[in-house]
Amino acid sequence: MSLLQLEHVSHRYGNQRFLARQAEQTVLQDVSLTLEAGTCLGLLGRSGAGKSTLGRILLGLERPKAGRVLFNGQDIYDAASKDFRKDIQVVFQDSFAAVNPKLTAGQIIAEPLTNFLGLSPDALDERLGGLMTQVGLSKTDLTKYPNQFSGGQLQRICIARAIATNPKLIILDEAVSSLDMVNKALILDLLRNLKETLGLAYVFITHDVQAAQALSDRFMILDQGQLVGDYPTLRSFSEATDEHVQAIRQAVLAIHPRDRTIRK
Amino acid sequence: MKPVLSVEHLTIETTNGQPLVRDLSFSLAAGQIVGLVGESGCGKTVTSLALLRLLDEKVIRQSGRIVLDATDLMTLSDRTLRRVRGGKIAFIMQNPMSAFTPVYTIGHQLMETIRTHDRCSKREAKERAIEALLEVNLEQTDRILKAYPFELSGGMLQRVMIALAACLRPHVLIADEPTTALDVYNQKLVLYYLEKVRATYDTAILLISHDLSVIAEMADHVLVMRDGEIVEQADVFDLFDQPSHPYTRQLLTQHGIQAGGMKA
Repeated sequence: MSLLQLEHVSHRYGNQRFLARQAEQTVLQDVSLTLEAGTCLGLLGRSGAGKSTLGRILLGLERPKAGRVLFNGQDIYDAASKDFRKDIQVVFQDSFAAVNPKLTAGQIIAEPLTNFLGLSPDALDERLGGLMTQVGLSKTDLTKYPNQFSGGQLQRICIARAIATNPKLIILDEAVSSLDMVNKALILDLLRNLKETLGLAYVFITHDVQAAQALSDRFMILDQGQLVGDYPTLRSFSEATDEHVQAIRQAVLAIHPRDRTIRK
Repeated sequence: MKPVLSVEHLTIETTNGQPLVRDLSFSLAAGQIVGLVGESGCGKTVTSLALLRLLDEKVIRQSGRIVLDATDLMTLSDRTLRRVRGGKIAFIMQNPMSAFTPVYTIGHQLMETIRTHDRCSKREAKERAIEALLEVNLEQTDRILKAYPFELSGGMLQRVMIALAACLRPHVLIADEPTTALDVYNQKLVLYYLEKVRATYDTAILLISHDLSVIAEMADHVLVMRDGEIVEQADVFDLFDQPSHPYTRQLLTQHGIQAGGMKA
């Protein structure tokens, strides 16, 4: 059984204006995919393609208008218990917007632990310390507030919070897109390590092909709400020549000035 | 070539003595693109704000000379400075969503800016605004002029900002991370239009970015900044092929270029 299975998922957003009927906009159309435990799916596409909507649907935050989302064989929108929420976590792009500025790092990371696991104060302390080490921060950082961290450090806090409940799947919604190159490389390393040591599966939503290639085992391209490309390996992705892969490749900038195309 | 903008010994510190930028000197010639690269927090943005003297003088002190077309901006009154900003020097910010006023339409803001700097009728200003929008391939000009900023996507807004900057034909354009908030498709488009402005009006551009690919695509000359100091400056090809400072080498390695050993 696959860890995650989407069957013919479609979703629309409508304008809910008083007494006004407005055309609904289809944001996802007949999306089906499966994800195995311990693997990373790179989900690529331009802004507005429906990537983040798909992420929200996977998290159980937004019931799709049609289709099913199965996690460990259970439809998450029909499940009697919300247990799956412990197993599916998320890391967003904007770490400052993803945390409560009035809580310390320790309180932020402790929140899912107290919600789901109900640890004793001692066990909680130990777990928090362990999590901080896992994401490459120190235990003394637990008493700091979000504004005392840099973007890269705060993203580590968000990752610590995401792995706190030992989830099976983490949705990475543009999780490295607003970091500078140094932090991006470090966070990608951290995510790769955690994937291997904890056997995590990721859905890595991004428009950054290089970042996707650094982490993903499998690739899909979403365009205007439809899956237009599915590449089961890094190799098949890098060798693909269809128009959607071409469009992505053409948007990638030169690494070295001798290959530049905008200025000649 | 005679520089349009030359910055001499620019030093920025907080009023309680914390140094932010130390002894920065560089110059920009007409039609030249100078890239300023460095990690988050190294002083890139504070430098760009200092060039326009936009920093709050109650909290931050700056010294040195900023010479634009033979006038030292440090000696100008606030009133005269306001005519320079947006007129001779234009500024493109990282986050287009927060750079526009949310309560006025795009058309209102474009026309206001044009009429502040050049005496002309409303009709004339509107015509120039439309022309500028067409230059960045925003073809539904009627809709865009009537739209409020939140009704446009980030990529479209950033193109509007370039149109706005370009329609006053500035001598110098400061672009602070102009593509960081955009997806890769829009990134390339925005860089392409920046190049168009440069080629059309011979505008000198200071391009601030943490992304070495953006620098590789666009810059003639590069300044590498670390902790408020320029550690290296060189022609873009020399910098990528033969970086002399260890920090530059480290950045290039993280960028995927084995520095020093890459001789084609």
